[in-house]
Order: sequence, then C-alpha cells, then structure tokens
Amino acid sequence: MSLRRKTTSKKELRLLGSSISEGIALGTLIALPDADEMPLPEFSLSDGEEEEHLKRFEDALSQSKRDLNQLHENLRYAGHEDAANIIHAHIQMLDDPMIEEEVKNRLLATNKNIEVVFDSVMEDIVHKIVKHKSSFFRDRAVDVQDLSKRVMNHLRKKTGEKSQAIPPQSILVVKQLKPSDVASMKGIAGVIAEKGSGSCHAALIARSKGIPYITRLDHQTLASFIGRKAIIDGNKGEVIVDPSDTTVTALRTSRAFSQSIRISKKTSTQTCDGAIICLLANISQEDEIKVLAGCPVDGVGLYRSEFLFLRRPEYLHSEELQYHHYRLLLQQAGGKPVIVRVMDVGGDKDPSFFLNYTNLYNPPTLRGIRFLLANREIFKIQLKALLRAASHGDLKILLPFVSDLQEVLDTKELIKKAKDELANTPHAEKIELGVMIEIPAAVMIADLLAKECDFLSLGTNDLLHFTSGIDRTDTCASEQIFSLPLSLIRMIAEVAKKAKEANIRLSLCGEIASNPSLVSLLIGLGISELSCSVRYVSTVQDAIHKLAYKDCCKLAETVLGLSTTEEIRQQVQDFLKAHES
Amino acid sequence: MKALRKLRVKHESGLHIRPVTDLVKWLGSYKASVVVTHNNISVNAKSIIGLLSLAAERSAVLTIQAEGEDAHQMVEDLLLHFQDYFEEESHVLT
Repeated sequence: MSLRRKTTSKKELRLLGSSISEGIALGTLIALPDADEMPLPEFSLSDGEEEEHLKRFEDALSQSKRDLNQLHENLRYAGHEDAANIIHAHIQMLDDPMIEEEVKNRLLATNKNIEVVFDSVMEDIVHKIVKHKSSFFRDRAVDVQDLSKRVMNHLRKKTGEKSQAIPPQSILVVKQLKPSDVASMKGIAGVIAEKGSGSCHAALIARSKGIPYITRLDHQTLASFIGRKAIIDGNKGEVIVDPSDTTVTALRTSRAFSQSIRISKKTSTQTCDGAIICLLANISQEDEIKVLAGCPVDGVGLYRSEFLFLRRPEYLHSEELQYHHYRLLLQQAGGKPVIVRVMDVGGDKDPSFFLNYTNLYNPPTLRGIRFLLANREIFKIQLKALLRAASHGDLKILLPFVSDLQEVLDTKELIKKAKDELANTPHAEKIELGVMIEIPAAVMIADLLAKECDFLSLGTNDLLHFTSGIDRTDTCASEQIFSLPLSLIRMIAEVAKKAKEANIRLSLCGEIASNPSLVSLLIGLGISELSCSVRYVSTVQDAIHKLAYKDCCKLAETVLGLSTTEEIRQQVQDFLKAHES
Repeated sequence: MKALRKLRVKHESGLHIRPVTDLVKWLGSYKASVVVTHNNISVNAKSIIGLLSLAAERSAVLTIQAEGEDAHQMVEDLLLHFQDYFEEESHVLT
C-alpha cells in the first residue's frame, strides 16, 4: 500500500490502493457493525441437551439456505448472473455432508454448545484452505468464512441481512469484503478493503454489480474517516477523502463518473436546452434485457419476438409458455414499458423452422402481419399470451410490415376474439397497439394508420431498402446508413407530421438511431423516441446531451431544403463540427 | 463392489469451485460412497468443502475409490462426463 498526500488542496486527502472493480462514485464512508467480533458463548452441555443443539444447528442451516435462495433469485432477476452463480455455490456448500458430519461428531465428542462446535469446525476448514500456497485456493476461504458467519448469525438469532442498515450512496469500509456483503446490500456506492484480491468472489460480485472496489488501503486509517464524504475512483485505485469543490466538479464532468451516476440514478435523457428524448432499447434475446438494469433507457422500444420462436419452436403453439416468457420480460424490465413486436417472419426471414411445428403453414412469401393473418391460429396464441402478460405491467403490441389499413382492422378484430376466449383468465382489458412504418406504402397512409392505433414506430432499415431499391444483401447498403437520402428524410418528416396531427407517439427503431451523428437530424425532424441496440445507448445519450433542440430543428429545416444526399451529408457534418467547437 | 481410478487434474485452475460443484452435483445421483485421496489426505467426494480443502492444482493426481452397487458404472462414467476437468492417470478395477 502506498499513502500519499497531495498539496492540490489544503483539506482533501488522497489515498492510493489497488483497483479491483472499476467505476467512480461519490458517497459517505461507513463501517459495518461487526456482529462476529462479539465473543462466543462457551459452555458444556448437560445430559440430553445434545439433541436440542443439533436441532438448532439444522434450523440455522435451513434458514441460511432460505436467505441464500432468496438472494439468488433477487440477483438473477436483477441480471447479476455471475453473482447469482457464486451464491448458488454457497447454497450447495450448505448441503455439504462434511460440515454436518463433523459438527455432529465433534458435538458428541466435546459436549460443548453448538456455537463453539460449529465455529471450531468451520475454523478448521478455513485453516486447511488458507495454508495452501496458491492464492486461488486461499481466496476460497473467504467464501467459507462468509457462509460460516451467515449460519452463526442464525444460531445467535441475529438476522443475516443488513440491507436496511445501509443509507444510500454509502462507501463501505471493511477489513475484508465478504461476498454476501456486496450481494445483499442495497445502497452501496463503493467498497474499500484492506485485504482482498481480484479473484475473490466478492470482487466478481462487485464487478458484476458495477460497484467500484479498491483494496490494499490501511483499515485503521480509513476507519478514522467514517462519516466523511469521499470519492472512490476504481479506475485509478484512488480514494479522495473530503474532496474539494473543484475536485468534485471536475469529476462530475468526467465521462466515467457520469456513466456510474447514470447506473445508480437512471437520469432521463435531455438535450442541453431541456427537450426530453425517450431512449429505448432494441432487444432480440431475452438475456439482453438483463442489461437494462444498468442502462439509462426508458424501456424496450422493440422486442423482436420471432427470435424466441427461432430458438424455441415449441413456444409457437403454447400460450402458457409464451405468457410466462413475456411476463418474465416485463419483470426484468423492472416496471419500464416493453413494446413486443409480434412475430415478423417471411420474406428474407425464412420461416422454414415452422414446417415441423405447424400444419397451418401458409406461403413463406408473405411477410410480417400478412403472414400472421394468413396463419391466424398461431397469431391468436401470441396475442392471448401478450394480453395475459400485459395484466402484469406496461406491455404494448407492435405490428410489423403493415401496408394496408385492413390489416390493422383485422388484427383488432382478432384481439377482440382473443379477449373473449380469455373471459375466465386474467388479462389486460386495454392494450396499446402500434404499427411499424417500414414500407413506403405505410408512409403514404400514415394518417389513416395513425387514427386506428396508439403509436407508430418507424423501421428505417427496411424503409431505406424498399425506398432506394437497395437489396438487403447489397454491400453498399451499410454505407448508405451513414448518409440519409432526401427521400427517407422527407418520409420521416411526413410520418412525424401525421403522428403529431393524430396526437399519437412516434418512435424510430432503425439502425440510424444508433448513429450519434444522425441523432441531431432525427430530433429536428420531430422524433422524440429513439430505440437502439443496448450497446449504443450510452453513446447516443452522450450525443443527445450535447445537442440543443432548437439547433436540431434548424438543421432539419435546412436539410429538407437541400436536394442531394451528398449535400445533406456535408450539411450534417458541418453542423456537428460547429457544435463540437 | 469396489472400483478404483487414478485421475490427473486437467483444468488450468485446478480443482476450483466450478469443477467441484459440478462434480458433487453429478455424484449425487450415484449410490456409491466415493473417497478422493490427494497427498495422503482423503475426503468424501460428495463434499464441496472436502474437495476444496484438497487444494488440488493442475496436474495433481487424485485417487478415486468408490464402493457400492453402482461403483463401477460411476467410475466408468466419470471421465466421460468430466473430460474438461480430468484425464486418465491409470485405470484399475478390483
């Protein structure tokens, strides 16, 4: 450990340790009340007391297992898969026959009370592991100690969890961090420990939860600063106690800090002059949704449900399986809205995987809503599952590839039928229905579609291809995405106008929403909801923060007056350059 | 019925928590009692903590002794199931 004082400020104190988990946070230093520092009661048992003590031990084991199962569930729901796996290993360890056997043998041999017996058994195990030369195995001793402490807390009738005791934005100061400390506590902004290495399970959990964690800092020194404000910088391995205003301001403007703050506070996305932009995520696989917990998005703008059936064709005919799947999605989205696009297959999305699973299969040349309406039984199963799931949260339905108003009317009819069939099953009475605008035909009738639905969603990938006559497999297609043709820009402006007239929401979920250099133009054209891949969310949000809404509107106005794609590209680039300087 | 097998730890991190929990979970479906010996220390192979306390690193040689009606089957299946974790040292049936 190295301790160094800098003279940049009179008051602030900088301590340098080693970084285990990255991230930066500002908070208050706190210490944990250490229950296991209290001396253990020790006494000899009188005749017949053994049974009672062994029973107490078994109760403590099963209570601990219950805690851990709960913790495991919570971590999994929150998407902390690594952390959940470690807790799962702890649960398995509790089932270990060696602990039970040893405790029983030793209790009968020594005739001591269970607390003392259990403590000595666990101590021996820890000892065996600790004496090993490999640090990898030595680190496992912390897991055993953690488990031991949990069971002991139950034996001593103390509660195992400390979640209530921690105020939000706390930076935890400990001698050595235990996995359950970070796994179960809410409100921890960072952790500073004296001992611990990167391969400790506690470190994995800290990383998995995105909590900055620094070790190799003297515990006694830090203990004297409890209750003081501090900055923990997991990127540099530095702790700044009593940071000066200048340091705090400098940090707040740094990128790393704003990212960690966003994870904890989930700030809304705004332009620098205060226009609120709704940022949503496009999701193809359910495991992507877990990322939402640590992501500054306002919900899922596009869940591509066809990928579910590609992976699990058996879901196609099961309302029950689908219902549980959509319900889990809502749960993982943590109360945020989820827009599920009903199965979009056909055309270049080969639905041949259906062949084995349905005899209702109709020509694969039909795509999106047309395919679904030609295979109504399959469509109805999905609608029923969605209606049922929607009673548990904010779920909306999105129709792909609509080209005619009749398709929306037919779908509404089918939804009505689905509701009738669900008369005895809980389901949502009202569900928002949206239409994808992704073929030129839909743009031309956007006003009619807008009157019959609750929201519109622009799918610019297909729209660009169908408008410009570019094949999806064409290599130049990807280049086109970085420069928008006037035709597409006019279409976006037109749809935005129609949505505004009908007073319904409009989102844009094509690849261009992930392109930070085009975001200004899209906002100017009247798009206030952008849905992009999870991995681009931060970049797009950063881009939006720097923009002024009124400048975006001016840019869109200018661009709509231009004629060629090259002029537009130049104009957007000039705008970005002017904005950066 | 008794069965014996010598295995070498192949996994680069040794017999750490993941292989150990996998092994213990798998052994749970066999009736045979299984003892693992390494460096003259013998432990119950159905105990995570026991196996961890062996601290067997890569290339460590483990002696697996099983006793019970499905002992032979278990020993036969073991290597098939855990090819990523172990390789054969020598194979003796008694």
